[in-house]
Formats: sequence, structure tokens, C-alpha cells
Amino acid sequence: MKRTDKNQSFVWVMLVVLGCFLSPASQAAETLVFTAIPDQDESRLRARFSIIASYLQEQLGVDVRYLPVKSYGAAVTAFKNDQVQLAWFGGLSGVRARSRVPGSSAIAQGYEDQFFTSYFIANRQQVSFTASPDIIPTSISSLDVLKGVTFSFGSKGSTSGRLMPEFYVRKHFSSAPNDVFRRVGFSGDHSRTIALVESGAFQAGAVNYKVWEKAVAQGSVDTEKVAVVWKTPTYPDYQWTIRGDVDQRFGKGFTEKVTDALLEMSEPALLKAFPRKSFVPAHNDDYVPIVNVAKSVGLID
Amino acid sequence: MPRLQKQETGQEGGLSKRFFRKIPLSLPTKATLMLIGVSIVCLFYADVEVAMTSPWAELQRLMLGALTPSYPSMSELFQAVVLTVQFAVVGVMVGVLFGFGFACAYQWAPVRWFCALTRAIHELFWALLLIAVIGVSPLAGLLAIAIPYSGIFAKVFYEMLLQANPDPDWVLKEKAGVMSRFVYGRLAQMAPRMARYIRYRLECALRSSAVLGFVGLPTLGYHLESAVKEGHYSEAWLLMYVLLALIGSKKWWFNRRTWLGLTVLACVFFPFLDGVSLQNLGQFFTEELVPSPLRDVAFGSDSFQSMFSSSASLLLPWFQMLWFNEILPGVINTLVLTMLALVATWVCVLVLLPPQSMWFAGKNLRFVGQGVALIVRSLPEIVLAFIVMLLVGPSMLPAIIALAVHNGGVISHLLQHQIDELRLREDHPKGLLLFCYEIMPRISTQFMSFWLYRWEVIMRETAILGLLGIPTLGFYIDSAFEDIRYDKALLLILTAAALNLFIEALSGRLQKRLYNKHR
Amino acid sequence: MLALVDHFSGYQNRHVLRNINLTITEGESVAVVGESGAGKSTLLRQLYKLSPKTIALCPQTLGLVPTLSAFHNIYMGQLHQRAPFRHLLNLCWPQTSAWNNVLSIAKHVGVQELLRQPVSSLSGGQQQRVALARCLLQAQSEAVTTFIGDEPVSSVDQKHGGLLLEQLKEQFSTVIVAIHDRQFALQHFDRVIGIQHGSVVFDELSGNLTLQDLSAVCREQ
Repeated sequence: MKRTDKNQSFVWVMLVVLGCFLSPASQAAETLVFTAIPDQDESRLRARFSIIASYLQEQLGVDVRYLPVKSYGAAVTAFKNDQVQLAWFGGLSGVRARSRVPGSSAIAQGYEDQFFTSYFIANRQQVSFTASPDIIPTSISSLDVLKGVTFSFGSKGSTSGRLMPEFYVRKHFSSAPNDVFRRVGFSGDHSRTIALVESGAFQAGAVNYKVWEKAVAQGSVDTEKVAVVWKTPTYPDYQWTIRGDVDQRFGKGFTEKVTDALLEMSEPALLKAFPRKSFVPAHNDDYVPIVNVAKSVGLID
Repeated sequence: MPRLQKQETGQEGGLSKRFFRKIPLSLPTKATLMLIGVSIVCLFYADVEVAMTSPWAELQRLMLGALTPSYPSMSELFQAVVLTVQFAVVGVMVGVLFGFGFACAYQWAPVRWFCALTRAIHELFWALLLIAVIGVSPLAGLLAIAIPYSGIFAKVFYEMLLQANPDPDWVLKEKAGVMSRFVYGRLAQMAPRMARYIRYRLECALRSSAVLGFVGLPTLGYHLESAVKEGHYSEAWLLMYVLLALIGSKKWWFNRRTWLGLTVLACVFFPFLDGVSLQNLGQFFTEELVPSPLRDVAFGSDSFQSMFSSSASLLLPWFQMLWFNEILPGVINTLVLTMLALVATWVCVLVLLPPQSMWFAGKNLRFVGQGVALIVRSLPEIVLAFIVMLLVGPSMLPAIIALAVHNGGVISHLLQHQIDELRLREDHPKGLLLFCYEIMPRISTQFMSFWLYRWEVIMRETAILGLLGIPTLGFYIDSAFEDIRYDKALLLILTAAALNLFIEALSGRLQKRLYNKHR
Repeated sequence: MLALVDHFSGYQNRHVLRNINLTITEGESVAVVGESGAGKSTLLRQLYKLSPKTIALCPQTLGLVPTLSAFHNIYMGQLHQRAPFRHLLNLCWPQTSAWNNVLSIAKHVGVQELLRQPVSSLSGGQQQRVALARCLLQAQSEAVTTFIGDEPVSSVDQKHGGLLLEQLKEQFSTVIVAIHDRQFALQHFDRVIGIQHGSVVFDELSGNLTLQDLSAVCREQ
């Protein structure tokens, strides 16, 4: 009896010793790590971005790894801490990240991101307005019907679900969302905003236009119940941002190499991960409008 | 044989005797009535409107998901289960280790305050803070669970030490060494209760593994949260079923035979050093945590006094703005929501308890009752809140219901074990009278202490209900993290911690009085 | 009438009671004596089960609710009567009629001053009196004619214990009590049953027994 006990504890001790040698994974070679904000279809993030990782690895000739995160804040923090050197940010999170890492720059954006837009949607039974599926109102006075309703933004750090809609609400009503709407919530996700407005839990909300159009195309939203009230003017949104010190670490001209690899991405399977038609060059200056808007709303100092 | 006749109209009548008849209320009753009174006052300040909703489309999808659970990738699911168990086990064990150490030094006030501070901060905020300090890494996730848990373990173990019968220790005094006196006199007494509590905490840790999603670890909670958020209900339900099965089968895979092996295995395969980066450490403390008005100020060679007055003049407006825009409304909303959820929890316990107990329910009803309690205490509050919100619209109401149902499930589960162990006289009354005259009075002290303990828990949990548009302190803390304003986040966290300490002191004082009275 | 015929009870193959044959008729007062562990409590419980509706039971553990007041604990003797709403009302706010009724019973056992105190704050003897008062209250119902008590006066001194027993005998037509005091058993009861190792050793009228006879089953303590 005693003997087996001893044997057993011996096995455990061996396992522990073995584990101590194995667990700190040896990562000697420089690895390029990238991340992406969890803006939509969060559950597929890993699957979506691991194919991007292998594409980049092939193109760049260095190890590339994808680091999943679950909040916009964590993505920016990881970029700032140099845990990731490259990131697929939204407009606002990109501005925040670049302001914290001197020398970092936006290198590429999706074709659609040059003229991104947000939709204000409302429950048709609870908010009376005229809507047709073909013509989306572009006159900002359409927002008038939303005064005093309950309203849901998306995630707190989202450009299309929070920053731009809030900016236009402030601009049109000349007061903060809390005073314009009866109640302001943050659903945390574009698809959930749609679900909440459809159920009537919130009477209106603001969503990323791509998520809305995907939901309409898939039939996961009943357009008899929810419709678009207003479409914001376009603004620049998502972009790839890279740290300034990568050239030192991965060799001269690495930034250009990454930029080229991103711009040359043409396989539909890869582009579907974002989902974007193609990528076009981007520069920090493209995002000056976002900086100004974020300052005026008080989301950055 | 002159038998005793009913004496209904005795000499004792009259107005003055009416007063004499009054029986002083027992302390648990008094405390309960007091808290209910406070919450009725809160009700006037609460925002509990019910919106007209047509949730059927969404609920239909939800129900359909319950009937058609599926998951696209079985290997991903398997990995999630393994990771969840690994994190829960390592997190709890690290917490036990430190918690026990702190419990031994708990009489020392600084230790007490430190522990109170660690558990006053929600796991989620620990995760966000730790990410900023040590980077996006599994270790940050582990610490986010282990740090608050060690604070909780310290308190609970210390209370167990206090409640252990002092006689064995006293008898051994002068005869045995400190260590052996402690082990034989105290530890032996509390060991079974400790084991039970650790098992219960493991259940909580399995649930809070969602937090670990923030550091990119695909645990069950991570997938569940995403699936619910995006409306993938089939996946969400399958994950729910797996989580339920994991929690429900806990006693088979985490027991006195397996715990040591499981812990060792989980530790061996834990990637402690993966992704840890300390280069931000200095910057975090010298820059990020400094209040923003002071950050870019160059003090130069000014005298200390002018430095102090200039920084005060810069800080004051910053603080004032925070105070009126976020701290004050945050505190009020948090308190109101907490009080209402607390009283609603009490009601939920009364409803959920009888169907779980052998005194009131037959075998079938008991199965259903215990099943319902298992489900409501395993479901993350945020999921419950979301479902209720679809029904009644956003306000404090879904938060109150979600918190109450969840915590009611937890407390009633703990009480059910106790009442089933009660030994009553042969001729005890039945049904409602049994409940009111025998069961409730006997467990009132225990009920009260679980309930008061949950007060703090409820207050912490109000943090995660920001999606309902209720600006609690937690809502503002979350926003500060999202805006990457750690100076603000820290101030708000400290406010929340102070509020939590206040509640804890209050409930501790109440509990102490209950306990002394009971002895 | 309570009767056990060829009765065995216990668990698995360990019998606590073996081959018991007993008949207790209305109007008797019976003492059950024996060493601790002999099977007295089990015998009393079996007797109670024969006719729970007509018997007021006072178990050795008393079955009091420590957090409730003495009033409520005594009042609980009435809970079997149909008036659930009234019972709940009295739990929160005792009514005059209920109070006076309980008070009159409390006077008989001498706890009238303690009615408002929680039972947990009472001494052992006072708690026994409260438990007895709960049984006495049950005697008000015509259906309840028998008292079964397991050492109901063990914590009360001899003189008061005797008085309490006489009270019980006055209120219940049949009284069955387990007792360890031999003197007491002979003095206050018509009939004495001796139990040893789960069997009846003697079953006699107390007039036919001496202290020595009782010593056989009940050693001096």
C-alpha cells in the first residue's frame, strides 16, 4: 500500500519537473504578432485571422502569429505594449493607438473604409417615420423623429457604432445623447443592437452599415419591423496600423513589405475575413477628421 | 378529569396588555425588515419602467437554439472545455494558497484592508488592469481570477477559523507547539467546510472564465459571451449545456481523489510566461496612472509649496467634473440597484428554496427545483439580463431580475443542504406552516449571513450591466478602460472599492451582531 | 389503546427492539426505564407512530425552534388545527385570544414570565417546561388524549418535576414517559416497563415492584 503511494508521488514529481522544462515555450526567433479589434463575428475571429497569419508569413518570410483579444481597449493596450506590432483597428481605436506609440503609422485601409458610414435604425412600430428600403434618407433632419426615444449605441469604443453617431447627434441637437434620448445604452455589438431594436427593447440604435447590410442580405433582420432612419456622411474607418520600430527589428524596408503584402491581397477567401473588396494605401493624415470628431465628443484628450 | 379549556377571554385583555403582548422581533427579522424598508425608499429613485416590446422573434430564435444546439468545431469545443477546467483549477488553487496565508494574518488590519480591496474589484477590471501592466497574457487572466479569489478565501477561511470550536485548541494549550495546536485544534475542524467552500468556488471560477476571454483565451465563457452577443443561439445553448454539465458533474471530476492530480496537471500545462511583457510597467505607473491634468506639467525647480498649489489648482476642476458627471451619479445608481437587487434576491430565495428541499417536495418536483436552481446559478448574469431585457426593455428591472434570480439560485442551493440536514420533532407541522414556524426561524441566521455576504457580490456584479444603459460605477469604469484612461479608471475603481468596503463593514457589523446573539 | 405485537425495529440486521409485545390502555400512566441505549426512545417513537393524531409527543431533543420566542414555541402545539392564515398572523403579530390561551398554559408550567424571550436564551429546565407547555396546549383538542415524553423532566429538580408530571397526568388520560429516576418511576406511575438490550425485561404495576427490581435494568448513576 505504502509502496504504491510512493510510486504515485514519484510520478507526480516527475511530471512537475518535466512540465517546468516544457512550459516556457522557446521563442527565440523574432515573430510578427498582429491583432484585430473584435468588431463583429467575434466567435470566428480565430478562424478568420489565422488564414491571414499564414498568408503574411508566406509573403514576409518571418513567423507571423495572430493574438486574439476581446475588447477594443485590450487591442490598443497590446499595440502600445509592443505585444503586437501590426493591428487591424477601427478609426477611433487606430487614432488612440497611434497617439500612444510615436512613429506608428496607418499603412492600408479597406476600399470601403475610405467612405464608411453608419446607419441610424429604428423600430417602425414604436417610432413613426416613413422609410423605404431603396432610398435611405441623407438629410440630417431625419434624425428629428428620434428625439426622446430609447437609443442603443454599439460598443463604447466603436467608431461606427458610437463615435460618429454620437458626433452627429450632438451636432444636430446641440446637446449630449443623454439629453436627447430618454435612455442611452451600449449593446456592445452591432448585431446585438439590431436584435434589441427589432425586439423593441430599444426604440432606435446606430450600426455599422456593413453589418446592417449583411443582416438584411441574410434575412436575419425583419425589415418590416426595423428600418434605416438616416445614413451619416462618409468618414474613414478601419485601417492597418504598424509600429514605427519594426524596420529596426525585422530589417530595413519591412514596413513597405508589410504594406505591399496587404495591398496585394486579392484572394476572396482572405478578403472575406474583413470583409473588404480590396485594400488601398492609407496615411495618418487620412484620420484627422476622426481625431477632430473624437476630441469634440470628448473621447480623446 | 378537568381538562384545560381554551381561555380566549382572560383577565389579561385591555389596551395596556396589547402592548405587553408584543414580542420583540428577532435580529434577522429586524435586519431584513430594515433592508426592505431601505429598498422601498430606493424604489422611488429607481428607474424601473417597462417598455412595450415585441420580443417574440428574438425569443423564438432563442428557443429554437435551445432545441437545436450545435457547434461548428468539435475540436475547438474540446479545447475550450480543457482550458476552462485548467484555468478554474489553477486560479482557485492559487487563490486558496494565498487566501490561506492571508487568513492566518487576518487580525492584522492592513492585511484585512488589502484583502478587502482585492475582492472589491470585479474580475473583469482586474483583467483589464493586469493587461495594461503585464500585457495580454494567460498569466493576466489567471491573476484576474486568483487575486480577488484569494481575498475572498482569506475572509471566508478566517471566519471559519473564528467559528471553529476553541475548546480543543484551549485544551492543547501549554502542551503542544503552535503548529500542531493549529492543525489539530482548528484546521481539522474546518477542513470539511473548507473543502466544501473550495468546491463551490470552483463552480464560480468555471463561470468567470469568460473574463479570460479578454486576454484572448478561448474558454467556454469566451465563446458563450460571443455567441450570445451575436445571436448565435444554437451555439450559445450548446455551450450552456456543456457548462451546465461541467458544473453539474463537478463532484465526479473534482473530489478528494482527483483534486491533487488535476491541480498538478493543470499547473504543469499552464503557460505561465506566455506573452508576459514587463516593459510597460514603468510607464504605467509613472504616466498612465497620473491624473491627466498633471501629466504634461513640468514642475521644474519650483518649491514644494508652489508645486502643491499649482497641481491642486489643476486637479480640482478635473476632479470636480468627474465627481459630478460620473462618481456621484455612479454611486447613487449602484446603491439603488444593489439594494433593490438584494431584496429581490431574498424573495427569489423564498420561491426557489421549497421545491429543492425534501421537506416540501417529492422526488420529481425536487429534481425540477434543483435543476432550475442549477441553471439560474450557472447562467452568467449578463445572459439572464439580456433575456429579461428582451421582454421588458432596458431599465434597472432586467438587472434587478437577473441579479436576484442568479443570487437566489446560489443562496437557495446552499440553504437546501442545510435544511435537509435539519432534524425536526416527529410531530412537526406541514407545508407553509412548517416553512414559517420551523424551517425559516432555524435557518434565519445562516440565511442572513449568506444574504449579507451576497450584498457585496451583487454590488460588484452591477458593474457588468452597462448594456442596459444604467450608469452604475462599473459602467463608468468600463468606459474609462475602453477610453484607455487609466487615471480615471483607477479613481473610479477606488471609489467602487470604498463603497464595497463600506457595505462590507456594514454587513460585517450586522453579521457579528447576529452571530453573538445566536450563541 | 396502543399495542405492539411481536414488534421488531432497527436497521439492517441490528435490531434496536426485539420481539416487543405491549398493550397500553386508556387511563394508564406508564414509566419506561432502562439504561441509555437500551431502546427506550425507539420504543416511544414506535408507540407514537401507532396513532400520531391522538398523541402529544415531547422528544428528548425537545424539538424547539431556538430563534422563536417561548410563546411561539408553545403556540406551535396548535398548528395542527385548521387555520393556516391565523397561524401566520400569529407568527408576525400574536392575537389577544392566542396570547391569553398560551399564557394560561404557561402559568401551569411556570414560564409565564418568559413568553417573550427566544428559547435559545432559556436554561435547559426552562426549555423543557416550554416543550411540555406545547404538549399541554395540544390537550385542548378533544382528539389528543395521550402524552408520550422522553425524559421530559430530566433537567427540572425532583419537586417541580413531580408537580409537572402530575399536571400531565391531569390533562392527558394516558401518560407514557421514559425516565431514569427509579424512585420517581415508582412514585408517580401506575405501571413500570423495564427495557434491556431492546427487550422488555419486566412489565408490572408499580405497586408490585421495589427499587431493587428496577436496579436490574437501571444502574445507579
